[in-house]
Amino acid sequence: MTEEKENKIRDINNIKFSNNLDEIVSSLEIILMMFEVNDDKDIILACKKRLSEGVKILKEHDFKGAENFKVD
Amino acid sequence: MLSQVIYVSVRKASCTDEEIQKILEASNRKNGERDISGVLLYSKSKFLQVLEGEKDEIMELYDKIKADERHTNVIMISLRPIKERYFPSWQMGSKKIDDSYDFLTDMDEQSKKEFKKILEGEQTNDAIRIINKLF
Repeated sequence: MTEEKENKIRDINNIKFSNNLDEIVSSLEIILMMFEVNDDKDIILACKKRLSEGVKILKEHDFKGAENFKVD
Repeated sequence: MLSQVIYVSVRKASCTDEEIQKILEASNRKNGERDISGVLLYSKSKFLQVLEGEKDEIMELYDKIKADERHTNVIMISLRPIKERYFPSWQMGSKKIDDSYDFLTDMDEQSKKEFKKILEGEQTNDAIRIINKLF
C-alpha cells in the first residue's frame, strides 16, 4: 500500500461527525468527493462505510434551525 | 525529497475569519524556518491547503495541522514528490472563496470550471496550475 493511499484511508476512517449540521454536511461532501474520484477499491469501501454512517447520523439529526439550511 | 501534500478539511463553525488570519500569521512566521511554502484556500465551510517542502517536514506539519481545533476531518487528496516548488515565494498565500465557487478574483469561466473540479477532487494533477492562476 502506498503512503498516499494509507494516509487517505486513515483520514477517511478518522472522520468524526459532530452535532453541527453544516459540519456534518461538509464532511459528507468531502467523503462523497473522495468516493467519486478514487478508483482504488479500498478507498471506495472506506468512503462507502463512512457515507453510510454519515447519512444515518444526518437522518437522526435534530433539525433545529433547519430553516437556515440551504440546499442548492 | 522535495514533496507536496494537498488536503481538504471542514472549517469548524467556531473558526472566524480572524482566526484564519492568526493561522496565516503563524504560518508565515514558522514555515520560513522550516522551508515550507504553500497556499491556503478557504470558504465558509472548507479549507484546501497545499504544502511544499522536504517530505519529513511537510508530513510532520500535516500531522500537527490535523490536530488543530479550528478545523476537523482533514483528508489527504494527494501526496507526491515534486521537482520544483509551485509556490516558492509564498510562505503561506491565502484566498477566500465562497461556497458556490464563484471566485472573488479575476478568472475566466473555463478556469472557474476547472477549479470547481479540483475542489471536488478531480484533476489533482492540474490543481497546482489552476491554483497558481488564482494568485
